[in-house]
Amino acid sequence: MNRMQKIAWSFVISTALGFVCSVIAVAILYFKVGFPRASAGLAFLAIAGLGGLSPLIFREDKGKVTFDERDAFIKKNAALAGFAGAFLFTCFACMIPFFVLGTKASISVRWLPQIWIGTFVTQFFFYSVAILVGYGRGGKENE
Amino acid sequence: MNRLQKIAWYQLVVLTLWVAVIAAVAAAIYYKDLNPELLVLPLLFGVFIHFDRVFFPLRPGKIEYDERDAAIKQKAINIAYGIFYYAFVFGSLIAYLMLGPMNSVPTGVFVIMILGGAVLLRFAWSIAVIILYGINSKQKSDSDLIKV
Repeated sequence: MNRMQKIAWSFVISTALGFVCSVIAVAILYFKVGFPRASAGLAFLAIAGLGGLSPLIFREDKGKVTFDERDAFIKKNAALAGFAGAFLFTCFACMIPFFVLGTKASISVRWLPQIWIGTFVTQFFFYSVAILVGYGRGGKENE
Repeated sequence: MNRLQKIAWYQLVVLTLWVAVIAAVAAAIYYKDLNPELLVLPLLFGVFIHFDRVFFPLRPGKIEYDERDAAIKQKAINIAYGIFYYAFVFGSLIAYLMLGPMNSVPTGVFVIMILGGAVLLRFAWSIAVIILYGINSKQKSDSDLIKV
C-alpha cells in the first residue's frame, strides 16, 4: 500500500466514523431533548478533521520512483470524482429544502455554512474513495 | 484554434447571452409587473450550452485531442471548481454575516445559488481554457503546423 492509499484510508475511516457518531448522537439527543439542541451532535463530524493530519503521519514512500504516470492518472480521476461528488452534494443540499418545504418556506441562514462544510468533507471523501477504487482495480500491481 | 478552444468560446458566448436575456426578462417582470412565471422561458434556452458537441464534433482521421489538451482540460476543471467553491463559501459567509444567525432565507435562494453556481462553474471553465491556451500560445496546434 502506498502513501496515497494510506492517506485515503485514514480519511475514509475518519469521515465514516465522524458521520456515524454524529448520526447516533443526533438520534439520541433528539429523543432526549429534541431539535434544535439535538443538532449539537453534529459536532462529532469534527472527527473527520483528523484525516487532515494523515499527510503528516504517513511519511514519503521509500525508493527511487514514488510517483509515476499511473499514480498521476489515478489522482486526476480521483480529483474529478471529488468535484463531481461535492457538486452533487451541494445540489441535493440546496434542492431538497426547496422541494420538501415548498417554495414559500424559508430556512435558517445557519444552514449555509453547514452546507459548504459538508461540501468540503464530501469532496475529500469521494476523492479518497476514488483513490482506493482506482488502486483496487489494479490488484497486485498496485505497489 | 482547436476544438477545445472553440467549445470554450462557444460556452462563454452562449452563457453571456443567456445571463443577459434572463436579466432583461427579470428586469421587465419587475418594472412592468408581469407574470413571474415568464422567467421560465429564457431559462429553457440554457439547453443550448450542451450543443457544443453538436456544433464542434470530433472528426474521424484528425487528431483534435491529445495529452496537452487533456492536461489543460483537467487544470481548467480544477480552477473552475476552486472558483465555484470559494464563491459559494464567501457567498454563504456574507449572507450569514449580513443577515445574522437568527434570520432565515427563502428556499428559492438555495435553488438560485446552485443554478448560479452551475453557470459560474461553466463560465470559469471556459475562461480558464482560453487563458491556459493563451499562455501556451507559442506552441502551435497540429492544424496550424499542417498549414505552415
